[in-house]
Amino acid sequence: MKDFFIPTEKNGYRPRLLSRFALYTYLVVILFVNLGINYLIPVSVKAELNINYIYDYQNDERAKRGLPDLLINTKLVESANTKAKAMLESNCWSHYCPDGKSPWDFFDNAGYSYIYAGENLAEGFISTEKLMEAWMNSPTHRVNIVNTNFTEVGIGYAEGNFQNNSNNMIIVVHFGSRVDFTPSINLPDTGSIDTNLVKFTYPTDGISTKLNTFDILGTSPENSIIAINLNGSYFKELTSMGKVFKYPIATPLVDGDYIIYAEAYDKDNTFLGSSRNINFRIDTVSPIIDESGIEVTEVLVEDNSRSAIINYNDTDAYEIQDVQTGRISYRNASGYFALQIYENDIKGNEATSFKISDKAGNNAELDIPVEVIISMMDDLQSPLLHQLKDNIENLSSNQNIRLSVNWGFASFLTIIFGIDFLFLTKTGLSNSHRSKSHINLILYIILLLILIIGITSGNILNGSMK
Amino acid sequence: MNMNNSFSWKYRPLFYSFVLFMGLILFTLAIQSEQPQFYPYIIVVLSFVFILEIFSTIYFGNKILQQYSIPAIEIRDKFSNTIQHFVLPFSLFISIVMFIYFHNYVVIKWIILLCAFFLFWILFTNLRAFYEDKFKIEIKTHYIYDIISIISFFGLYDSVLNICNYWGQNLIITLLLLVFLILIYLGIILIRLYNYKLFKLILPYIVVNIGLFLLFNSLGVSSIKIAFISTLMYSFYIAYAHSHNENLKTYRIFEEYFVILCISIILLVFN
Repeated sequence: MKDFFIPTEKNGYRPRLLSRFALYTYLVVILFVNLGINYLIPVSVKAELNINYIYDYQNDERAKRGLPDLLINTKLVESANTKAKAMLESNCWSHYCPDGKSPWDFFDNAGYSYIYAGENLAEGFISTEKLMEAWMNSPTHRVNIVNTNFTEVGIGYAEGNFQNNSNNMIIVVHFGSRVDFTPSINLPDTGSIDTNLVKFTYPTDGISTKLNTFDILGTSPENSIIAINLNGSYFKELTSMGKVFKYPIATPLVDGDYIIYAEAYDKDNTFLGSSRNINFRIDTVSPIIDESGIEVTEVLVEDNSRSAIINYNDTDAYEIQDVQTGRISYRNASGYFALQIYENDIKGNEATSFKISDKAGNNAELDIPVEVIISMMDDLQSPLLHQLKDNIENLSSNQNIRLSVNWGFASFLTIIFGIDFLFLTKTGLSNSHRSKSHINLILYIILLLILIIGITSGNILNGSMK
Repeated sequence: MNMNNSFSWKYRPLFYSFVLFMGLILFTLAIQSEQPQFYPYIIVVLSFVFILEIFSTIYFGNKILQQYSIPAIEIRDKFSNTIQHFVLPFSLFISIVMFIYFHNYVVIKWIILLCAFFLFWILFTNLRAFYEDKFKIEIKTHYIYDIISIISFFGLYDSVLNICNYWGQNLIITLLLLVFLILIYLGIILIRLYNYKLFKLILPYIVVNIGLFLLFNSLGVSSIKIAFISTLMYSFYIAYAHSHNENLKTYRIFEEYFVILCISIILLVFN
């Protein structure tokens, strides 16, 4: 028995378990197990990749750090899914896939205007728990998950033959935040301050008003004579009372754009100074609501509750308000409205009302049946977001068999080489006409190490992250 | 051996290894608790401790040797010793730090840290033995340099792949960095073993190694596996250099290495 494990003079300092015959036998067995077994035992097992779990896990990690949850954004889900499919089709495993295409191109193509963006990739993982553990243990991936700059997330996936694995699954997580996410960021213009001698306090520059009769108000040098011009023509002359002047327009002005301008003179008719041109608009017509202009463009999911971003496409409208909650959205920098409606707020109602206003303050109301909004949310969400992604046939059990056999072999060889190494060290390493035992030993120790990692810490060997 | 020497021999390498071990634990804790502002400080302090131990060992060891009027070592020995006693250990330190940074798995963390502790211990013991003329201990622990070469090669190769992945995986830059790394490490082995005849094998080795990298990369083999396969190739090269040095160029020895290499690669690729 000693001859099998320990290098002695009798076995020529080569344990029988490390003889040429033994080594070739190991090679053949390992080859058979790894190459042949795939075709002999085509059994499938269930994997547990769960998109919801990924989403929840990420938010739990953020919550631990006092960070707000990431909202699921359907545009990000779309960009993540598109990226995953593109990677699968091109069999390309990189952030720059396919053909060097940047991740940010996918964000742009999905219509997501980001100010911050990030991407995590994974493939070849069997279980979601292992995947998340791997991501959280990787500083470069963790920094995306717990990044304070990100407010939204989209999780996409693709299944199929990828990177030499016929049942592979690619997971793509897109993180982002955007400048137009928070509604109500563009507040109405409060007017400009004229620094010239004569100043209009009403109307202010750029204002739209639904009033066609109003008081023209302003300030000027004390007790000066004010000559008001409207659209380039003389309109009215009056004397200021102290430093203010006021002229009530009695005859209604017709709807349209106007330019008002004033000059100030003293009692000797000496020109004192003027105002700058003030533009204003008279608009007495209520906005015409185009029902087809209202659509759900995004669905956000947070803590099992959904909300929709309602987009209203009407160039005449200035603000849109959810009547029930009073939430208002103004036209944003991208030229559209983004009003967030929570499913829980509208559930149980027959319809939800929107008040659409133009800049002049004219209103119109529109009732949309709740079921239409819910249906729009469902339509948008279902092809993009998979709530639950478990029970996916992903990997075959022969992989488990292979893993066990390989792990066993690696352990066995490590032990044999360990004993060999210890005894050869005693007799001298270089005079036994053997390969350098310590070189082989270290290889098997590292191999064993990696196998242990593979088993205990997720698919570090097969599952890749980027 | 008086008490001071006894302390110096038995406990000083152990003490410094333990300090480095604790420092690396601190580093992993900083990574786990996401305190990146501490990373550079920890690494700089640990590097200082590491270099301090190496230099103090070399400096004071040489002082002892001078008392015995031992003739100065040759230039080539100096060069070889610099690589063996400074470049390789420091590469090991860097590769362990990089590996911990890129693969901070809970289970592996402690295994890597324990491995690092024992490697540093044996290394410091060997260094002291070398410079204080303890030949028996030096010979018994000399194998540590082969192990350090293999481990640091693996760690740095894996780090190059991780860094390149992180910065966009430009294949040309990746290949250039890998060729540079392989070149340095092959050179290190040959200089360590004074075997300049084998320099002619560097080019074919690089071609084969890079070819395997391209093959496995195109097959989608994960970067850690590729790093390990390349390390296996590197160990094969070390083994060959050793055999060449000892005139053990028998078919049987290469056959043994080759079969072990094949077993290892199969175990890796199919896992």
